[in-house]
Amino acid sequence: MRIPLTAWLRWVNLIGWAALAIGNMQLIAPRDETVLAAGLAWERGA
Amino acid sequence: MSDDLNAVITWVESPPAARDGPLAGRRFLVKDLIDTAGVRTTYGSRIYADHVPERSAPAVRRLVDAGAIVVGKASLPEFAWNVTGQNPWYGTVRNPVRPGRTTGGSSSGSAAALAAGLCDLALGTDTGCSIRLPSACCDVVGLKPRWGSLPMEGIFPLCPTLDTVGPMATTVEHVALAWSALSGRAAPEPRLAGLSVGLLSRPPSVGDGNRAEASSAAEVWAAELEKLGAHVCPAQVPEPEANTWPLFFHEALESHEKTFPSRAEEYSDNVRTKLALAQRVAAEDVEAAYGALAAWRRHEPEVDLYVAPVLQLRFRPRTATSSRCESHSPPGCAG
Repeated sequence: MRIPLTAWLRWVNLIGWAALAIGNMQLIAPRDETVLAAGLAWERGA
Repeated sequence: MSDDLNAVITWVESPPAARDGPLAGRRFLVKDLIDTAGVRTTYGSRIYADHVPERSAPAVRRLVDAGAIVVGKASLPEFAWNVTGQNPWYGTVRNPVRPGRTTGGSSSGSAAALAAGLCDLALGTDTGCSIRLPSACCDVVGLKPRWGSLPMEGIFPLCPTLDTVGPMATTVEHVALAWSALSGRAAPEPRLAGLSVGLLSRPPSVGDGNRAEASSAAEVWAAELEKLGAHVCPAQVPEPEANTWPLFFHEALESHEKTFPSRAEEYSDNVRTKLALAQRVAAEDVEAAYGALAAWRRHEPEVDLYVAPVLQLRFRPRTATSSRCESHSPPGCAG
């Protein structure tokens, strides 16, 4: 099976939302602040 | 200065002293798609090999105003139009985390340099994957902001309706600090508790009928997210009503109207072929694509945020307490 490298990525640009990649994990939401807040919590284990 | 990774096209020989600010003294690498005053900016191309802009892009100026020091220009594929670290004019960027594997692209030099400690902060661009894919391949952190959130002036366009510019670093904290300087807004407080997180097992297609198979790749993060107070539930995102690729090719062709086809022989075969394909896109398909995109962008998500993989590959899960993934070569990531 051939999986496009961008299958999980390109749609986010089209819908226009924000996405934060932490290594291979991608957090996606309409606003920058939401993904950053979640990413900070993830990183700090808060 | 030189680097063994081929991550940098141009180093700044005598970087200026840092200004005071939240990013004071941070070594800052700028993707070579982004204008820097007085520093060669090639856009990864042969056509602009000697191009030296008079003005820096606003995104660069904002980070410099916050104290970051531009130390060089990061490599990228020609005109950022590829998903690997390969460039026919400036060479292939090597992956310091997974030797022999691709860095991903197109912000390939930015990600590799961060992973190798050649800089503290980088600026990338993302039209379809180009901050997130290399961030995953090189185990760093990258933000693709909401479209329109950060200024795109002074950045060579690929598809303006999709183009974004965003910060990359080795931690979320540093990315958030840079985003604050770029946006002029305060970095948010950490928060996952109480949020609904939609676990995507399948990405929506982009309207072209090619939809990836379902995957459990995101499930490895669900337990950790729950532990941090989020409520994780299955989720889906609807698909656009028409193929959206025609708008991408339409805008990419417009982005190159000054040099294509008039200087077609100076492009690589890869980009020249894509631009030739773009010339054959039908106007009615472009119109349908814009209509589908406008409708799709009105979609309201049913959760606060989604979690999904960048690559549908077997990466070891990154835990909340570890600063980076353990090295584990993704087999499908081979360059």
